[in-house]
Amino acid sequence: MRPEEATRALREVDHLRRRTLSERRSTWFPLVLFGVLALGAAVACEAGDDRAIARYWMVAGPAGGIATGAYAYRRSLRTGVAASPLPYLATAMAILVGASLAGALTTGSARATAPYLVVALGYLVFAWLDRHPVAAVAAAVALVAAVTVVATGPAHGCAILSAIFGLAFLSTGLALRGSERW
Amino acid sequence: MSEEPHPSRRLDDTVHQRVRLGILAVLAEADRADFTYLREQLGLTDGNLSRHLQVLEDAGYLRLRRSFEGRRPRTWVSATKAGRAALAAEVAALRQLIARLDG
Repeated sequence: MRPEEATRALREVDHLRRRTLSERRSTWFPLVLFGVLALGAAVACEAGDDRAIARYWMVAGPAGGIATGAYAYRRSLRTGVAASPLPYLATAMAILVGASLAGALTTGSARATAPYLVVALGYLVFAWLDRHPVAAVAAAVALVAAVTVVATGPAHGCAILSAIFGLAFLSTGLALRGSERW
Repeated sequence: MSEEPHPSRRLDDTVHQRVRLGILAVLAEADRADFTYLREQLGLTDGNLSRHLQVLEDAGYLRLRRSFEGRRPRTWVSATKAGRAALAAEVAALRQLIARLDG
């Protein structure tokens, strides 16, 4: 085999892999959906107490996860290419359990903000599963914001953090929407 | 004294063929892809793709699952563990071949 043939074969493999990866992932949808839900959480933080925000996420979190799963499934039928749902499902479950524990095991303002640390870490895992650097940047921004707010405990920390998560995820999701196949 | 075999001897004839290498490359990034998706990505006819899928399935590199969506039949294709390993070995052999020829 000649070197140019081997180079061409590798280039073709790389091209097909990159194209398939970009067509099988639907990173924008959960970012937009959870961005909107986080902005809703900012309102819930101001309107109620720690229990109100916990109740909000106990309903909004699983509902958002189910909507994302349904979207990914329908999209796979439309495009003809699908990722395995198991790693995504395991990560979503880990976020739900981890965030609940973070809220239950902390006190004061951290009860409402510590769960966001888990969510940001979960989003880093999602970005890694999708091998999506842009989504990883959004998750990293959210993680830095969560660490800062949990460590400093400012007034209205829950609303501030929810708004940062909402804006970071929503703006990233909307920017990705143009480049991804729906 | 035993010499290391030339990398071209590590190329697997089943995988090395251009279309079959393409099929495994697509499936390396997906849990499953349907027949139409593969046909369009690789620019093949139905008959040509079917023949190559059969070769890979016979080698244990692919799994085919036929289902119905309403009345429309649909064939989903997944790479097996052996298929993913065969692609990785092929890519490694190609890289080694290039390195050897460049060096």
